[in-house]
Amino acid sequence: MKVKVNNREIETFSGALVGDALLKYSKKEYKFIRNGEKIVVDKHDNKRFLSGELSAGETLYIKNKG
Amino acid sequence: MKQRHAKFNLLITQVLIGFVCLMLSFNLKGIQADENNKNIKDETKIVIFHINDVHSHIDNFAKIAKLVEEERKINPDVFLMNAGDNFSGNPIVDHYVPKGEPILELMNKLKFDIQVIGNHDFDYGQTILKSFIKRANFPIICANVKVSGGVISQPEPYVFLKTKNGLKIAVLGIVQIDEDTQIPSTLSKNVEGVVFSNGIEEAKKYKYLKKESNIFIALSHLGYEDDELLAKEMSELDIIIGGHSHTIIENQTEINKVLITQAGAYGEYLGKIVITLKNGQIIKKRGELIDLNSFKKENPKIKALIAKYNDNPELNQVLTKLTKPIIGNSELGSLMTDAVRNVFDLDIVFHNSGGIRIDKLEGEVTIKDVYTLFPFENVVVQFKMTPAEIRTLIKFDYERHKHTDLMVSGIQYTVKHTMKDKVKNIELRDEKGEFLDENKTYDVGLNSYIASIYKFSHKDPGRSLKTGVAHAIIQYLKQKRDLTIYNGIQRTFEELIYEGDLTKIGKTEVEISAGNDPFGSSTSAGNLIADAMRFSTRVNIALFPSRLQKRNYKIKAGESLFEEMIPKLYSYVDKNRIITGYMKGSDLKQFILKRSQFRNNIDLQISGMKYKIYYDSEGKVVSVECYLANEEKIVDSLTYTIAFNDYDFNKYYYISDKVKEQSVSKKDLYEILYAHIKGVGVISSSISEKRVEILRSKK
Repeated sequence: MKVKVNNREIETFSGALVGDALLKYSKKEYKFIRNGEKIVVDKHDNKRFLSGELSAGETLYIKNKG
Repeated sequence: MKQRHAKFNLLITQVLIGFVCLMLSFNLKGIQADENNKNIKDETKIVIFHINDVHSHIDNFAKIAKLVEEERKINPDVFLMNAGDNFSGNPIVDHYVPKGEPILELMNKLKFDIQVIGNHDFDYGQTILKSFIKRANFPIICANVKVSGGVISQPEPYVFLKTKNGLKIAVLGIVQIDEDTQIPSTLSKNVEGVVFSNGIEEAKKYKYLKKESNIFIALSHLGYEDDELLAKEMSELDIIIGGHSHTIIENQTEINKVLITQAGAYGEYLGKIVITLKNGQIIKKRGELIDLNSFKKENPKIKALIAKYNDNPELNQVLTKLTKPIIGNSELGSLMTDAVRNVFDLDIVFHNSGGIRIDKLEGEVTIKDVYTLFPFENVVVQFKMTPAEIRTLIKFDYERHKHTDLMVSGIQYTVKHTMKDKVKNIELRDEKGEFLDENKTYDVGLNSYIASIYKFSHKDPGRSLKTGVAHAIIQYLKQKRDLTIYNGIQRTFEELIYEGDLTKIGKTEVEISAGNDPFGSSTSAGNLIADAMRFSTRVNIALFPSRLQKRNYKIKAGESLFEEMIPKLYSYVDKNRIITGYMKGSDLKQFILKRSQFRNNIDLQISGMKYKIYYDSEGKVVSVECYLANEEKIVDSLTYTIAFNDYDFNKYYYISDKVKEQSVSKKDLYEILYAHIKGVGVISSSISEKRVEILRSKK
């Protein structure tokens, strides 16, 4: 399935979680989020857990914390 | 005439009956409307607390209990709802016997009012879910499920909850399904005999509940994206309490006048919705999230109950007893990949060495040991792949790590590479040693880390099997198989192809290798490096850490040695210089003991000395005996000249002041090895000697 991270299209496997898509996008950014230095939000600016389930076509954004 | 009268009478009777029915119908509707609008003069304040996607994380339930009980003291109309996915995510709870018990008891104690089935609530199987539903003191609902031959009973699609003054809250439950499989995200065997339909389409069939209630809520396990679509399609809803996507909705939003909320996951947040009604109509609704990690008050009884559950003896349950330890990445990786292949019925499984977090399994293996071996939540992802596609995965792995890092089940493979680690060919053979059929497609399992990080060709986009690697290992070990097959097992091979201009610096009469377990013995590669350090610095004893050796790389006996081979023998090529100094025999022995205890194995390769490690009956290192190469014992009071690699020496803080007159070599280890091999010319059998022995304690 395809999702977007910071407006870049990422193709990941069906049933992937937010963390899987972010790992594919950038391992470095994934680590920032996992360590709490950055956050990931959906298109409405709602914060997402890395463990959250993804739907095809979803858009995620990586943001600095705070 | 009589006939006419009779007809007239019949007509009158029919009209009267029709009128009565009509009046009765009006009256019924009137009664229902009155029922919904009872106490129309009063304002009613309703508080709904909600959680979702707890995934076996129970630690915050004592805080939830506190918050809810405080609200119940001041408000008669407090409801507690759960938007699904209680199970899977915390080994302490997931392995509790009986399964699901901690969550069930906590939800009952907190007096939950309602729950929707989430996809992961099927993870323990339908028998467990059925028992959970039966013993729950609250209804568990779901509208888009039809149980035909399944184990669970048909759940109700919705229920009405009532306030103390009789206002009705209709709560409709819906669960997510995958588009391609048309079942929720769980293993298909968990939902046998249960048919699912689209949650949004199913929900639309219940629009009429709006008229039968004062508040109409969807308790949704669809995920936030679908909750948005649901709100757009169903303005009849007042509120959607969501789950599944683990979304933290801090800024409450309304779409189509439907309030959508979700409280993250793992019980880290508690959702609170306050609804005010007048004349039976909602005049205000507001939602917020309470960050439970910042909230400090707890219900002490619930806290004690949680402590009891967290002290789960089941994690110490012995899954199997090994007669021989399973040591090193090759043996452990083969076990882990076999487990995944067996449990998920796959053809081939790969697992990265970074996902093997201990050096060995030995003796009694418990559930806790499995989670130490693989402490990650990675699930298994299935791809249909051709041999050509599989090669792209192995090639990426080899060129990334400069050695074969991917452990495998179902096949064995050989990477043929140049001195500069360029992959020239990869041979794939099945378990019988036959080449794989190039025209066939194989079911390949990868952990989700590999599936996301590794760059490889695959026409099939893959699908998550929604179950973790650790779960598969536990199931496999429970099968009580003969696990001695893993002792000495090797399924990945490397073969060097000589091409281009190489700098010949010598020859070897014996095989040079660290094997697949650099901690299990003194190795020929370790001996060679330690020898080079000792001869170069002219000290009595040289020590080199086992962990810096490279596994699996092998130079065959009789082969020429090229300069380009040096970086393949050990890691941190640019970071190693040699520190020399003087050390007392007693300090040296203490140091070797400490390092052996730290690793509980052979942590140091050595030159100029030999040592024996003694284990007690529980497999712990208790003592060492140290000898010089000429078999004389190391004497406590004598001083010896010592060489260490600086990268590790600087981390051995507890001996930094025990080594006197320290100095650092000008040459790095690369230059030292180069000079040593070139100077010696032919590497002899002395590097094959066993310099470290592992023994049972004499006591």
